[in-house]
Amino acid sequence: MNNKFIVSSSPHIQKSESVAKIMGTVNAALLPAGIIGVYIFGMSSLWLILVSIAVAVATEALIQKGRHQKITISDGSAFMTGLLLAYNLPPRCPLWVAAIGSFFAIAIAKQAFGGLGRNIFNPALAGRAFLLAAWPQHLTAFSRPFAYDSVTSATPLHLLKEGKARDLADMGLGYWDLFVGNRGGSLGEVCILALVLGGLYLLWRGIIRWQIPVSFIATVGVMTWVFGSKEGFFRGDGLFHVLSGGLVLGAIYMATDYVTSPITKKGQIIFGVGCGALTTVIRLWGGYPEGVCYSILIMNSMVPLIDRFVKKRRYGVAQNA
Amino acid sequence: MMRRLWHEFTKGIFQENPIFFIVLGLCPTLAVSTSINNAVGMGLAATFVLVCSNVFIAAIRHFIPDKIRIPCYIVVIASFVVIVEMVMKAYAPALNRALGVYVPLIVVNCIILGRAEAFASKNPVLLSLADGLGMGLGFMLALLIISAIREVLGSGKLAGYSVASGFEPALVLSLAPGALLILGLLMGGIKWLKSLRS
Amino acid sequence: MKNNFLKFAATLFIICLAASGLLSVVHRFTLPKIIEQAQAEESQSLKDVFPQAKSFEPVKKGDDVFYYKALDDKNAVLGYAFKASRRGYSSDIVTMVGMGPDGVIRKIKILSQNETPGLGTRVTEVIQKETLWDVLLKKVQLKEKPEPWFQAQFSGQKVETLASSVDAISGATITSQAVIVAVQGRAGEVMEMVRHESR
Repeated sequence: MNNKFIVSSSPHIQKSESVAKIMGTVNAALLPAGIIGVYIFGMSSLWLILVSIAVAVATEALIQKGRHQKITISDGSAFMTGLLLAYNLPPRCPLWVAAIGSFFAIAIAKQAFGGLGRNIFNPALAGRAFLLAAWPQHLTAFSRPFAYDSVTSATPLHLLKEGKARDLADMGLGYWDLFVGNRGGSLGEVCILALVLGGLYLLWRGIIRWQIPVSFIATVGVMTWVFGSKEGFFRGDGLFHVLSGGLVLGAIYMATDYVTSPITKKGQIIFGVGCGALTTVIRLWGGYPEGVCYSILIMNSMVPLIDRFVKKRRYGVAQNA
Repeated sequence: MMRRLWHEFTKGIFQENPIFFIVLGLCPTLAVSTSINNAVGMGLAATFVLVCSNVFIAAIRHFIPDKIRIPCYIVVIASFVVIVEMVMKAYAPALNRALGVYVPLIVVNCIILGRAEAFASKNPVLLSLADGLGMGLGFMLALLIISAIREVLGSGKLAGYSVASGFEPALVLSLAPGALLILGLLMGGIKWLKSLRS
Repeated sequence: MKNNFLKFAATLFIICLAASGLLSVVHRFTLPKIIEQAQAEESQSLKDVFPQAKSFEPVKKGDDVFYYKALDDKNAVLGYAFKASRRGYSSDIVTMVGMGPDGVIRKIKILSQNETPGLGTRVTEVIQKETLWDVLLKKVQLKEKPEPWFQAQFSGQKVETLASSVDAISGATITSQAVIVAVQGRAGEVMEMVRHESR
C-alpha cells in the first residue's frame, strides 16, 4: 500500500445543496405544524417558539464571536434547533425554561462539541432532556387543546401510564382527534397531519430518506401491537401509540438529523429500528410515559458504532488484512 | 527540605488536583457532592484515610515485597476506612447516614491507592504526609466547589439554608448527571484560565 | 521460590494482624458509644412521634420489638408507636409511626431513606421561609425546624384513608406510595396484634 489516496470524510458527491438551503427547506416543512400548534394552544405558544429561536440564534452568535469563529447563524441550523426545542415543550411552559433549554442545546450540546457537524447528540433533544431532568414540574404540565387558560390536562400517554384510562374511548378521543391534533401534548407534536405533509415534502425534495422514519414508526407500531396489551400478545393498540406522543415529530424531523444519524441506508434502518424498540420499551415498561426523546438520544450515541458495523467491505483487500 | 515539603503539599491542591487534573476518585465526587455538609464530611474522612495510609505505607515501604504490595496497601487503607466509619457512627451518626455507602467505599477510592502506589511507596514518611495532606485537601476543595454550585443551583440551598425565595432550582444538578456536567464545565473553565495565563 | 512464598505470606499476615489489632481497639472504644447513639436515636424518635407519652413499653414478637405502647404517667395506654419500612425507589425507607388506639395517625417521622436527591428525598423536605441571608444578617432567630410538609400530612388521618388524604410528591410517586403503604400495612398488623392481646 504505497500509493496513498487522499480520502476526505463524507460527503464525496457534490450537489448545489448547501447547509442553508437544506435547513431552510426543513424549517419550511416544520412551519405548518407550528402554526396549527399556535392555533390549538393559543398565542402563548407563539411566544414560546419565538423566545426559543431567539435564544438559540443569539447563543450561537455569541459563542462563535467569543471563540473568534465565523458566525454561521444565517445557515438556519440554530434557528431549527430553537424551533424543534419549542415544538417539544408543553405549550404553557414558562418562557425562561425555554430560554435555558435553548441555551443548553446550543452551548453545551452543540458548541461544546465543536459546532455544527461535530455534535454527537441532537441539540434540540439534548436541551429537552436537560429541561425534563431539571424542571420536571414544568415539562409535564400540558394544557388542554382549545382551552386558552391554564387548565392542565394529561396527554393520552400520561393517562395510559398512570392507569387512569385503558384505551382511547376512556379518554373520550378517537383516532381522528389524534391525527389532526385535538389532544393535550407538546406544542408541535400534536398535529400529525401537518407533520406528515411536511415529511412528504422533504422526501420529495430528497432532503430526507424514508429509511429512518418508516423503520422507526413501523417498529413502534408493531411492537406496541404485539406487547401493548396486558391481556395477551397481539392485542395492543399499535395505531394509538403511533399517533400519540412525539413519535411522528421525532421520527421525521429529529431522528433524520444528518449529523447525528448513520450515513448508509442499512445503518439508517438499524438506527430506526433501535429507536423504535427503545421508545416502545420506555413507553410500556419504563418510568416515563413517553420515550421518543431518550431513545433518539441513546441511538445517537450508537451512530459511530452502526456506521462502522455496516461499512462496505473494500474490494481487493483481504478481510482480515 | 522545607521547600520540598511545601511543594509536595501544595501540588495536590492546585497543579495536580486529584479531581480537576488527575481526574481520579470520581465516584464519591459525583455521589456525595450534593451539599456542602456532605462534601466537608467526605473530604475530611478521605483526607484522614489518605494521610494515615500514606504515612503508614511510607513507613513500611522497605518491608513490603514488591509482588504483594497491592494487597498490603488495600489492607492498610481498609483498616483506616473502618476506623473512620466506626468513629463517624459513634460521634456523627447523621453525617454517616447522609454519606451512606460512600464511607466504606473510600477503600476503593482511586486517589488513595493511587497516592500509595505513586508516591508513598517511593518517598519518606514526612514527604508522604505532606503529599497525603495536600491531595486530601485538594480533593476536599474540589468537592466543596462542585457541591456549592450543585447545592445552590440544584436545590436552591447553601449549607442547608435556602438561598433565595422564589428561585426554582434545576433538579438535574442535584443528580449524578448534573455533577458530571458541572465537573466538565469547571475543568473546561480551569483549562481556559490556564491558557489565558500562558 | 519457596522462601519468597513464605515471606509474602508472613508479610501479609503481620500487616493483617496489626490491622485487626488496631481495629479491635478502636471497636472497643466506639461500640458502647454506637449502641448508645442508636438507643438515643430510637427513644428520640419515639418521643418525636408521641410527645405526650411519659414512657414507652416495648412489645416483642419473637426477639424483635414489634411495637411500643406509649404510656402516660398513670401507665394508661395512649397509643402505639412502631417502625414501618418498605422499599422505595432506590432504598429502604424506615418510618417511625405514632398511632392512637382509634387508628388515627398522630405523627410520623422518616428515620432513614436514601432516595433520589431532589425527588424522593423530598419526603424529608422542610419548607423554609427564611433564607441564608436572613440568618447571616441575624434578621431571624434560628428556631427549630418545622415538620417536613409531606410527613405533616399524615397527622390526624385515619389509617384506612391515607391513600386519598395524603398528596404524593410530584415526581416521586413511588417514594410517596412506599411510605403510605408501609405505614398502612404495619398499622394493620399492629392493630391486629393489639386486638389479639386484649382478648
